[in-house]
Amino acid sequence: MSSFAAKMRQTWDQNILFSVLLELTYNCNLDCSFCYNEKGIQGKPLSREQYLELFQDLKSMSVFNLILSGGEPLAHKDFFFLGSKAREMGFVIRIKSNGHALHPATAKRLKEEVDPFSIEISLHGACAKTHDKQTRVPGSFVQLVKNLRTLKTLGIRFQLNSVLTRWNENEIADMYNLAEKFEVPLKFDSQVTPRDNGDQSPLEIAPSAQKLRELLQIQHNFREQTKADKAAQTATPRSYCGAGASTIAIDPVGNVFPCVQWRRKLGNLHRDKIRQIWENNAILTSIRQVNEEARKNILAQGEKVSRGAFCPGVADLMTGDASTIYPSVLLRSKLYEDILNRSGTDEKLTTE
Amino acid sequence: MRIEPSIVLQLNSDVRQTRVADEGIILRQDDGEILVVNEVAIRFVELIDGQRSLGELADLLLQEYETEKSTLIADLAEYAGELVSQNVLNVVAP
Repeated sequence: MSSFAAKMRQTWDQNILFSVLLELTYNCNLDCSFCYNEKGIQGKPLSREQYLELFQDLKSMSVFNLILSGGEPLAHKDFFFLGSKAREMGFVIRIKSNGHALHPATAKRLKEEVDPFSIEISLHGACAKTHDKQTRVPGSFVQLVKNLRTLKTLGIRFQLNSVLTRWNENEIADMYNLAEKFEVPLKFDSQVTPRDNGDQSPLEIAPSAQKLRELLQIQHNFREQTKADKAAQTATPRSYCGAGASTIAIDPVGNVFPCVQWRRKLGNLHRDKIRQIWENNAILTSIRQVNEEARKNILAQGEKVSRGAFCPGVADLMTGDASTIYPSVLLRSKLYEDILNRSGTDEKLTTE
Repeated sequence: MRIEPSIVLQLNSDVRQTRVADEGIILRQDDGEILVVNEVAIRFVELIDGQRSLGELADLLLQEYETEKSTLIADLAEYAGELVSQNVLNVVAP
């Protein structure tokens, strides 16, 4: 019998669609300054009926994970209807939320009607001043902490996600402490990304090299303690990442992309069926080739660059070429190299 | 526990399952445990509906796989017992 890790490699290698991310809406009850969503998106939102048809198609393709995202997914008028239908159909439902609306009644309803496997909740700082500066909604930090307590009480599994920025970079330890208080993981993303429309202004709040190194050191120490990378190190998937290999993302008006970060439009569900896009789409075929080439390129650049958390989608957004290594990858690579040199270890690190 | 052919099984409400190529993945949401199972096992799990007995499920599987009925029922009973003990299945009747 295979291991689960082996099955995941198989989904990449054989292009088995395993996870689908649905950006249900770009509406949001917060107003994060570096939000990557394209708020002025044109097009007709997918209807209830179209979502149900999509769910049927995804089920027939044996898709396992359905990730409900946004914007804020709970801001979609049919969120509970769609979530409960997805549950009835047996999907593993994951939710990406800012957590602001998850007060007791809504959280209870979420558990009863949608029963998500987990919720990924955005945390922008360890105190109200920093978090609220990011969300541009006063009181959002206090509300979030209250809601996290509610989720904990109700037994709903969640983790915290954060992007390291110039604004929160002095609160790394405190943010980890907050996560520890709730006994949940905190996953930092060290890359501030451009908006989906190519606007690179969010990069103005990219973290300093010093604080980025601090984060990388913490992550390295964690890996050393848990040896969490060992299984990943043995993985040899054909593609660099799951984008277009085992995952796909769909925006609120039905545009289909290889992943939430790699915004190359593959088709639109108002016109195309998802199976048709997945199995017979020239753009997706070329994306998969680029993804495979990206893996070869990164490996060919040596271990140093392979530590830099390269993302083809970010490369595409920043340079117009999904295989071009962009500056922050080189910076992270250099910092990792420094960390390893100082710790005297030569163990390989994998990218997140 | 002993599973008789007359027993009716259902999936626990927190269980999710799918196929990946020639094997299956079963997730118990409550504790996050994942099982990878073979093709016959995932087909068996797919057929469980809280209505049909183990014997009736065996009849369905016999239409898809060439094996002796008595052997299949014995194997299914043993495997179902394992899945009950692993909190994947529960017995609804009798």
